[in-house]
Amino acid sequence: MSTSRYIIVWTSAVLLLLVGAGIFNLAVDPFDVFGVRRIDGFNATKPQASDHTFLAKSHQLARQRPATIVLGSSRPDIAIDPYSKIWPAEFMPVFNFGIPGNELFGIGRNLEQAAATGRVKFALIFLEAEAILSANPSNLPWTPPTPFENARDALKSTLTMSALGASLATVLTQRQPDNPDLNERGATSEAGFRGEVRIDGYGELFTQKNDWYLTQARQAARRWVGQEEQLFGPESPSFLRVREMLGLCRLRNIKPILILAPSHADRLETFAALGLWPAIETIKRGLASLGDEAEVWDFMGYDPQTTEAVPRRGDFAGQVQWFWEPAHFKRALGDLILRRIFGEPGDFGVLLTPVTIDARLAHVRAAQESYRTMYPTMRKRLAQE
Amino acid sequence: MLFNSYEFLLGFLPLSLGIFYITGTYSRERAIQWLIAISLVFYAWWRPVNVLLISPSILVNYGLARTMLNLGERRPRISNTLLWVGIAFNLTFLGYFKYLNFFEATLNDVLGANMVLTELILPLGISFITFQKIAFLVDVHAGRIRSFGLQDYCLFVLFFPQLIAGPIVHYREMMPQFQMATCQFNGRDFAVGITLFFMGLFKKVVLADAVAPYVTNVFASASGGQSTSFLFAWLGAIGFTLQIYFDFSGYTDMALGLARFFGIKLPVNFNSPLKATNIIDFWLRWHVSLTRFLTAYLYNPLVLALTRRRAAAGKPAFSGRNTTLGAYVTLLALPTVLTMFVSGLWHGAGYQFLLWGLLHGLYLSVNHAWRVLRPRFWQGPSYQRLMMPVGFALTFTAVVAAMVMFRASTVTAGLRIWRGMLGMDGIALPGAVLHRLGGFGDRLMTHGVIASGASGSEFVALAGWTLLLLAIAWLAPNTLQMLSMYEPALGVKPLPDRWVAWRPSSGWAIGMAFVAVCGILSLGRVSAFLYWQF
Amino acid sequence: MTDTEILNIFTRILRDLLGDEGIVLTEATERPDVPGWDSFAYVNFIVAAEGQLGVRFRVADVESFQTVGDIVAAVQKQSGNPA
Repeated sequence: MSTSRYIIVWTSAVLLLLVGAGIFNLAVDPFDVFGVRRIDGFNATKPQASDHTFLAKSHQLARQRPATIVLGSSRPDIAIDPYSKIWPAEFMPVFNFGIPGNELFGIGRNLEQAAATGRVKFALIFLEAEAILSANPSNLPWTPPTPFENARDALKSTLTMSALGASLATVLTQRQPDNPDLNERGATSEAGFRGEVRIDGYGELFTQKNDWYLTQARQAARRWVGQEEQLFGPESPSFLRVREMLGLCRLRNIKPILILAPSHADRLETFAALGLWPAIETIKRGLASLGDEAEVWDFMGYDPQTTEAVPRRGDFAGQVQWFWEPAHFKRALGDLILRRIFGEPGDFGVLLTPVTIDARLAHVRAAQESYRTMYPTMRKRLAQE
Repeated sequence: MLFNSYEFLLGFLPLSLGIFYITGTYSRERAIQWLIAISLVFYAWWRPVNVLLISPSILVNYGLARTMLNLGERRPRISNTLLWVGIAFNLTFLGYFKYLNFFEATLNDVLGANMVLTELILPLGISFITFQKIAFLVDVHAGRIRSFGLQDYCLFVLFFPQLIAGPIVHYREMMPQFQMATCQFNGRDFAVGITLFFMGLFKKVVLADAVAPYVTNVFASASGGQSTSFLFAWLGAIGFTLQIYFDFSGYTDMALGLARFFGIKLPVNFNSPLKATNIIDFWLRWHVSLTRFLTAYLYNPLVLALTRRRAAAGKPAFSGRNTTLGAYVTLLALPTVLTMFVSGLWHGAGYQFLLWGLLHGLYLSVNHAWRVLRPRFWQGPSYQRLMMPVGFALTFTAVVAAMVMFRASTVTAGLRIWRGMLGMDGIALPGAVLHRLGGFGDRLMTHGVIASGASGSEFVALAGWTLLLLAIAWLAPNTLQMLSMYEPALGVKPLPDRWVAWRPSSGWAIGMAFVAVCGILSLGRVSAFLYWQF
Repeated sequence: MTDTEILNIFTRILRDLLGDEGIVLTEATERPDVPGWDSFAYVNFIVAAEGQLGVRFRVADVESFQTVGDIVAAVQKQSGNPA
């Protein structure tokens, strides 16, 4: 073969392989960037999209034009079901824009991004203590994607090895039961956690995650303790950022609902043991002071749901009704949160206002005390460390 | 502009090559000028100020070299002075940008002074460019270069395939090629070029970049003050050795391929160094053009001067088996350690690089001493039989251990990895991995292996990639061997035909297309070549 | 001195240096042809040759020699016998 023929064969093969890879990736659309039809057994569930949530959800959002936007971290991402029957009609369609690992300023940018779609009427903003404690102040606003950025996303989800790997993984794992899916409304399914529970059991999962969160929080707590005012006082960047977000909602006629997400008592006790309770109360007071600008719901307390007993390690039969692990609650609890917000009476969750705040803080403290007398183990274990 | 970026591969390269070939059909001169212009664009891409920094240095060097050339052998003293002025100028230039900060920091450390550190922009590739310019001045001074113009000189310094990270080339091996180059499309060169370039791209973006994040985690945790257990320390160290191996090997292949598109053959720079059976051999395979430079312009003159001085003083010189300890120390150990110290300093302004250089100096000295001493007590076939595998393992271990310092952010972090490699911080496996091992895992735990909280999947990925890359580095033929029939690098001789020999056939075309597509599809993530920092 | 005589002296020097009695140098021999004749052994060879033949090479020339023949020629040039 002559070298010129070699070059022609090589070039054709390169182009053919590239085009082939591109078409395959486009058909599978593993990150749901293009919103191609989901075909059962081929690409109906999108486990890989749940590893690239921001990329996937940005493109889903641009296609969806939702009336309600759910913002926050991986907790609402998994626990808030956009298809839940509880949503009132005027809230539909709902889009879940929860991004794993999100903190306050990221959530703020997500709100800007969602508001730019122009149809959003309601925003459920899930804050949790961690999102505020670990807020990463930045003045960076969200900017609409340039044509160049859109082209880059399209390129990245068709003509890259990671896209090809993701496509193959998507197709090959369609039949696996523990495969998490990112549905077209942005919600990640609970399958991933269900799988972990099946392998390890709730006891093991809680123990591992408690250890992990403890190490994480212990390093950060050194920066936080004694910094309550700087973290969320009225002049703190985080507090101002929340006000800014509410201002944007007013401007765009979006009704904001702020939600302090529930954590399991294990997690609350970790915070308390690290001396973070004053910080959490500062956060709650700050949010309560916004009470006339927005609905603020506090689910962060010691309730029957959050103090649910956890099976021992090695107990594979024992169940937990409301939580997967200390920080991630189940859709069952997500639905309960929605019920409370949409008017069902109950004791779970309190509307925070300047009037209710003192009673709420006192109530949670009292509940904390009685929890400790009932379940001293967690407390003791933390004290030993 | 990185070789492994979309803008280079889809924009810069096709455009500059296309115009080069078209221009070349009617004017070689214009094509060469175009090549210089695009080289400047390439250099300026990252930071345009780079061109402003490097241009005066080019002009000064050119001026000095011209003057030396005009003086010829008539005024040796002035010519000598000019040479030393030139060397001093280049070293000062390099020193100012690369070492001022380090020098100030060292003074602060040693004297407890409190100097404010000068933060300077390090012009890209300055270490490579500086060495190449010094070699040029020495060559002109020695009369090895008889004539050159400004255009030749600019082309020699700026030729973009080797501009940033070598190979360090000599004027006398490049210029005849440029003079002979047709500056037109040549099927044979182009076919060899795409093969080399895309094999290199594959090594860089598919192999080296795959192991990189896991290696980074090991070293980052050491930098963060955490102790590293035995297996993680070794995997991190070997993983990094392979990362830089495929990174540099990939870069070198890409440079060879790019130059070949223009009809130019660059010298050999990388030749399966992990197959070396002793450390001297390693340095004849790893960064060959740097070894060549340091040997020719530092080590040899030094040894020559020292040997002559000893000879003049009537002391014994180095003479095979009868060498005395004094001769060994002054004529071998001293210049070797010094040369490798300079090499360490050249690679980076930091104590860890100095330590790396000194270690290799020590390795080489021991290797040389062994060569002298061994025949006195051990000869015969048992030596070859035993020493080949032992030397191979020893060399590998020594290289890996030294590489730790090359990667560590500080000496302290490097020492922490060494501690781990010596087993001083225990042996641990991620709990998840130990539990999956079942009974074997339990047995390991009774023998002192600890279950750690490290991510199991990350450990498996690091171990898996390390083993795979190791297998490739040890067992696979290298690009120079595969392409030996087509002189992939300057002076490579054809090897006896083997099944891995590349030839223009449809099988190879499709296989290489597959390699190229893997590389192109992996371009998404941006990662710089490790050697671009030097 | 004839080229052959110089070659014989060279061979003698290198045999001593590398401890290998099998070495035979010719004008065409290059360094890579002789196992163990690395850059270090090369410098020692040069200095030994200088000592025995009473010549002195320029540093630059030492780097330029490609073959043993080149070194022989340089010796002849210095002793006034252009080859």
